[in-house]
Amino acid sequence: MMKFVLQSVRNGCRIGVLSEACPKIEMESPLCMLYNRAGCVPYITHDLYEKISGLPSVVQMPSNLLLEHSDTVRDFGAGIKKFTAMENFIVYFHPQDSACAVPKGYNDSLGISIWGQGGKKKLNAEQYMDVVDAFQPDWFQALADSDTDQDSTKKRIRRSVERTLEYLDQCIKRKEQSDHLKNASIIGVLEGGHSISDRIASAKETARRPVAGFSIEGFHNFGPDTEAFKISEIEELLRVTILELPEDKPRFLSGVYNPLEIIKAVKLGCDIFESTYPYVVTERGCAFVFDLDTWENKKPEDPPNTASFEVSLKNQMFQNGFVPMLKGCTCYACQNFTAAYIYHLLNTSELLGSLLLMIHNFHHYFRFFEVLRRAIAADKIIEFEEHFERINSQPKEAN
Amino acid sequence: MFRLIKKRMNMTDLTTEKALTFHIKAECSRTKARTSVMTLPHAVVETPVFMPVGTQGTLKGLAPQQLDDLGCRLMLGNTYHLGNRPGDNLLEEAGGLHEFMKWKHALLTDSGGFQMVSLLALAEITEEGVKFQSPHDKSDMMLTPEKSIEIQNSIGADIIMALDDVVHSTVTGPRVEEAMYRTIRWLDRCLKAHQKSHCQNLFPIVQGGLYPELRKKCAEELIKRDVPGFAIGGLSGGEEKSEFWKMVTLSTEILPKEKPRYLMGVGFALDLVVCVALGCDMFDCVFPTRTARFGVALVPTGQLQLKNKTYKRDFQPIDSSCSCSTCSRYTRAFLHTIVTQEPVSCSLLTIHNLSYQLNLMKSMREAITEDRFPEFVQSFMLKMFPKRNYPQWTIDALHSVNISLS
Repeated sequence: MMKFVLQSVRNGCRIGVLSEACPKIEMESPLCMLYNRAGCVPYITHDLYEKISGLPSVVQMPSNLLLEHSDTVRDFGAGIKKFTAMENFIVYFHPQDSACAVPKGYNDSLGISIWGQGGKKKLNAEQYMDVVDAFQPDWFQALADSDTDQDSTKKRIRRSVERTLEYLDQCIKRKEQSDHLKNASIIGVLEGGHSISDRIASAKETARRPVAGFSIEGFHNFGPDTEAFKISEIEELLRVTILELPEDKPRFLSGVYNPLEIIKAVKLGCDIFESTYPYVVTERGCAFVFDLDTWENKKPEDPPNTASFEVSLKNQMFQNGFVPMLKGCTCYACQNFTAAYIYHLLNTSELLGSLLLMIHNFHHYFRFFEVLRRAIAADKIIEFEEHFERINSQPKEAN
Repeated sequence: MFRLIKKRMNMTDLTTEKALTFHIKAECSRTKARTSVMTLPHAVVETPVFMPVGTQGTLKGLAPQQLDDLGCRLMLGNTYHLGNRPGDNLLEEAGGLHEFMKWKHALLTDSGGFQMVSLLALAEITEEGVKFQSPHDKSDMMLTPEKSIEIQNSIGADIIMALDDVVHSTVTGPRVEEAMYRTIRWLDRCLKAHQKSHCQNLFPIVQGGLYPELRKKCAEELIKRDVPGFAIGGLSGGEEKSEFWKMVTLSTEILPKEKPRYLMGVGFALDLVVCVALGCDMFDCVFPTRTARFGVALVPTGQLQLKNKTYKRDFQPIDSSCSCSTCSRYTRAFLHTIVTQEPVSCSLLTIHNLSYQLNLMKSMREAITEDRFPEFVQSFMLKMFPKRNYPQWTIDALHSVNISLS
């Protein structure tokens, strides 16, 4: 069972400790989870996990590529963790994959639509809980109707709030009846689209249920394009939502978020994030280069080290770059290989290219969270945010 | 440059100045199998050895560390591909392929000729070399023996191959003889052009198609040259297996015992076992790594096509006797859910398939050392053909070296 203890709040940012009994793990928040696809860390085999420093203890397993195998896992009988050899992690199972855009308009009274390799599946709460029961995750999100965005009608938003609450109640009931899920933690989903009143209603009602934490969704339909989504656009919506929530339960914000957006969300009171962003960046052949080391010593008028959060290793300028992708980076890829080699791998569509980029991007993103926690504790979050504002406001170089 | 040469020389056998030494540790008392230690500039390699193929300067989906962990000490790179991308000039600038791909053990490169002829529709062989159209801008280019050696010198592999006039094994007639003689002439040109014999070993390739007299003539000529080892070429293409093994054993009969024999492009586990019995020391094949990408796992009884619905609820590992990291963690059922879908499945299966191949070689070395190789072969064959429906060619080949398959 998940336990969350809030230790302090500084400039709106919460420093907390999240713990789980079995496996016995303790983590500091704000934190991010390790993204999985189909039960695997993208590109990286188990024996290379130790190469990623700061590897999260929580693995996020979206259901989209796993649903079609639920009867196999059921017959396997020992749960998804053993099936995927992830017993040393905390596994968080949730319906949608934020790295994949969810087509709009496919949820109805029969259930929620989830797209996998074999096409669309529609699940109601009972069917979803059948899967959760077979998977036996440590934490799981209740089934939710998050198919709303800034263009949704009031009627549609209202329906998503009501349906999500119905599903939550059904999921809680099933959880209480299940031997497998006795010690699992259920995460309630907060809806309300871009409507203040509906956000408040959803949050108020969900907070009354016996959930271990909250996941705030319904702002958009996920996918790599939501990288451009700005937390500032939903600042008020997040504020009114979080006001209704107890402080001793963590707040998950799923989505593809760059460091600047993460900081903004943390300042508003969010605790747990995903690592879909490093995956999206890897898929386009790019490597993170945002500075995490010299920002503290910079004056506001100093230009940032980089013009962007990332560089494209497909760019011909790296063809004879016999230096690491990112100077000073301590990741396995940068410590051992040159940008020229990674350029060559990407240019020849070799799998090792994506593998090395994924290691680098995960490493850098997890480091960001570590530096973020230190910055909060040292009351330097404003400077940290300004550092990323400066990078973000640079004119973008052609990649 | 000097730093590189100095480093390489430190790693050669200190008792001689040679870039390759080959010491036979044990010989099978019944067959032509032998197990040896081959010292190269970047590694000490036990033979018989299987060399995985890292075509474009990487083994598909594996980091060099993982290959190292599997016990691999010698792998292949393809000159044709590497010559195109990243290009020999860039590799020279990078300090050679070892440095570029961060592979600290030994490398072997082929001459580029075979790929050129098999991949390019308009490759034409002349006395000068292989004429072809550049895949990039369609301009006319020529791969001469000299150019092949030059590129291989830049790549910097421990073992390099002479450019040979490769003829498909199913070709018959005077073309085969012409190719055989040209291979010898090109070898002499390669030897002359080779700039780094102190740290790169040039192997010639025995050709001659499926004609015993031509193979014999070719091998006899190659032996006259001062080379550290020999390759047997032109035999991995689709010829009848009954002809194949005869050419292999003929070659090992003639080639000197005290130098390594590299059977190019072989192969499947069955071929490896038989050809070790026939006296070959080194092998290479894309099969284990290529087939991994298509969801096929290699096992003692043959192959598993993990995409197949049969494995949907098969909760065993690929091979319960395999201790690779894939088999120690995952079931066939789990792998079935990800093969050909998630890129990581390629890596997982490559790890297993290479582990299988490399362990097979290790088992053979141990069996030869303990002089129980014939029993090993019989046991291997029975596992692969439990109904004893052995292919005739294997019966004949093994019989020729005193192993009977009941």
